[in-house]
Amino acid sequence: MAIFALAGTLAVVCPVAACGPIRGASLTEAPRNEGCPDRNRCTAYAVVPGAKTVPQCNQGRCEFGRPDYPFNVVVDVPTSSVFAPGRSFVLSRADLSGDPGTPIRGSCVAPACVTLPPLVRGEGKYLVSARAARAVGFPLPDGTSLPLRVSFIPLVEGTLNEAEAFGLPVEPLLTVSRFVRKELAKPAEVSYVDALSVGSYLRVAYPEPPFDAYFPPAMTGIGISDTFVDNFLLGDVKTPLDDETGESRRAALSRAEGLDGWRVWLVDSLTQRRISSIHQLAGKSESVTLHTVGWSQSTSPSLKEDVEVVVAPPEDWIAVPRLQSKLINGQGLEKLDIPRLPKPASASGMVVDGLRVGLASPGAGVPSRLLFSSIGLRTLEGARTPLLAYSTSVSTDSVGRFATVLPPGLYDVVVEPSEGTGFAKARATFDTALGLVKTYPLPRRTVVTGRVSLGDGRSLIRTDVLALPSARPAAVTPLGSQRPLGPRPAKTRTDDDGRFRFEVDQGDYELVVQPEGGLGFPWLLRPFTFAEGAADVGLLEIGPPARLAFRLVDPSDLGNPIVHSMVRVFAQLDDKVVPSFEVGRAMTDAAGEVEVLVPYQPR
Amino acid sequence: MTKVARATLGRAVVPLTVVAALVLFVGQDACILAAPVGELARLPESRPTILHSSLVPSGPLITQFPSTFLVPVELSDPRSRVAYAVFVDYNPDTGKGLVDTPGHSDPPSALAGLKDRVRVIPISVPAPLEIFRCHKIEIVVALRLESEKDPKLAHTPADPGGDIATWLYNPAGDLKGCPALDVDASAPVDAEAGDGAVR
Repeated sequence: MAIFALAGTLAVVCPVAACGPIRGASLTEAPRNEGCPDRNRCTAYAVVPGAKTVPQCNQGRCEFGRPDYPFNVVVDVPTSSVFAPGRSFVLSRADLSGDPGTPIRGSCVAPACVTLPPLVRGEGKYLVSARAARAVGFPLPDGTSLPLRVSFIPLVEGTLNEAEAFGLPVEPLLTVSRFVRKELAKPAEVSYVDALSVGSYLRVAYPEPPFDAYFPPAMTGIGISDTFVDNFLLGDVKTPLDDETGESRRAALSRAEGLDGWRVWLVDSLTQRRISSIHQLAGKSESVTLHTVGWSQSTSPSLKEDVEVVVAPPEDWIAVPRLQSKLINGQGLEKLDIPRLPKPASASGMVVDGLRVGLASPGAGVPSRLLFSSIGLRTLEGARTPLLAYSTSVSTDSVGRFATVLPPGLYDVVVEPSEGTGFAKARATFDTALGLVKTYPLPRRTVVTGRVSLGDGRSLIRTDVLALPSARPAAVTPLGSQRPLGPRPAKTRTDDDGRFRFEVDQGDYELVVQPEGGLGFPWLLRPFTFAEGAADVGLLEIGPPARLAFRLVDPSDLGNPIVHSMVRVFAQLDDKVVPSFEVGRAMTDAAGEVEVLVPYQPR
Repeated sequence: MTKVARATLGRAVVPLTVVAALVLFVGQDACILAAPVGELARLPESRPTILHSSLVPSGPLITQFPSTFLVPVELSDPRSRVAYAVFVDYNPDTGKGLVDTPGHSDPPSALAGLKDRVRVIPISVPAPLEIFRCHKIEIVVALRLESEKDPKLAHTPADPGGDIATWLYNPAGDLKGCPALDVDASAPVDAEAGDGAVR
């Protein structure tokens, strides 16, 4: 009997044990911020240096509460939203704090619920007085409105800093004028009409061609709190032409080979935005008046500092430089002679592995892209002038060879090797006087290693580690300043021991550890400067998060949820010199709810 | 035990013994494969779909080159691994324009991260060298790309297809000097239509 029973049991157990399904299961899992207070998790975390509080258990998760450093929240509303489709909003810390018990609108009370600021209707015109129109050489009836293109550039609240320059990624609102007829009895007007969120902006109004050749762009700071009418009047007592006579704005240009198709205008050195009328030239010499508004000194019609004049060839010309000259106290327009230049030079060369330079077998070249920016170009007489500027880029072939045509002179060269080659970006020069064939050796990328763990010692495995350039290269570079080399971003993932390794360009980086969603841990940010060779950043410890959680709704009485909207938190250091940097992000759900975990201290 | 009872037991034990022996014999070479309980049949693979309305930046015309493009992707299976490739000024004839070897977005290991079928993929794109002129940026997402090594094929999602997001970057804020774009960059933002799928 016993034998039979044993046989029966074996008969059932063996097949089941032998044929259990094979499941792919990792040996270890990323630790999660959960289970407190049962396991005393919160006390196990090392105290964050400088922390004013200790982490507390909240619904099973250790948290620090709300972040106590200055921050802004950028909300990108999806284009599918009924309210403000495609618009971005910057909310301050105060907007999210609120006064508990003080309803903002409807049932939405901060900090559990945040109402986006309302959009207000704005309309505006670029009007010209008959006198100003005569002065610029384009007579028009008094009060004529011009067709225009308008940029509303968001400013950081309470400052004159442009939000983008301050690290807040908010696109300007671009709008154009249209013919608007408000009443049948009245003639149609040219006016822009759009909706903006309340806040501070720099408004730049550019008259459209052909009026841009006579009338200057109008820039002014605007604080918007309610429906507004922005009627700019050129020739008004408050906004006259800077110099009606045009004496201090007259530019005399000449070029022996002819100026047909060339254009001239003035720019703001810092932003490179056009600030004057733009003229197309003809003949071998011409005198034009570059009118401005709002750019004169307080005591004289002379131009302010930080203004440059630009004289550019037609856009389809190759190997012909533009002339760009900084004006000193408004002086420098009287004689703009574009010098004769020697014939363009055929430059060529190769990009190679820096470690193999000088070896008998230098190996294959490195596929790259090169940007040539002139430092000083040579005139026909041999003199080198920094006033002429030429820039071009060229790609090498698959074995690193390049060839291009350059006006003779000295160039700054940025060499960017293709990703995956293992080489770093480098800066060099090219002087056509020293030879037309050049070899550029590239350094290897820096190998960065480190380890990520939690404050309680557990390794944070399979977590993204990013190296982000600490400052984005500006789209414009003032004359005479060298554009930063700008290292490229890189990304890796920690292994089962929390260790990571990746290769980066040399330069200034923000190392960002981004634990995946659902683990309950915040990002960690650390600034590093990487030089050539290897760099071990050591142990990066992540503590419990601070937390921002709220429901995001539109400002209507219904308080409709803003669904699938990206909510990003940008920390701001107290010194207000370093641009803001992102410390966390999340997307609102179908109910408009969002929870963003951020580090308790920004860095 | 009576004689009758013994005989009855004997009649019952013999077949039981035979059955047990048979099961033991069969069990050595075969498995009892029970149908998985509680696990629903998997749907066939379907392409990842970009939530174009929630792209950041929203575009399609942008004047600032962002440090990170945020691409929300809706997945039929949140456990899917997603491949993506970034192109700047892609030229289909030469295959030039692939910024880096294609990357992957792995599913979150925590269950909490699997609740939503929308996964936001942050993609850092190096700013182009010539940042002062217009550029076309494309991000292709798919379960698999035709190739991750050949730039020409990296632009093409493999079966079951993928999706593509496109931006035009121009610091001047207009389309001067920009390549042609499939979508109308000047159209009102609420005029978006279609999902931009590529097969």
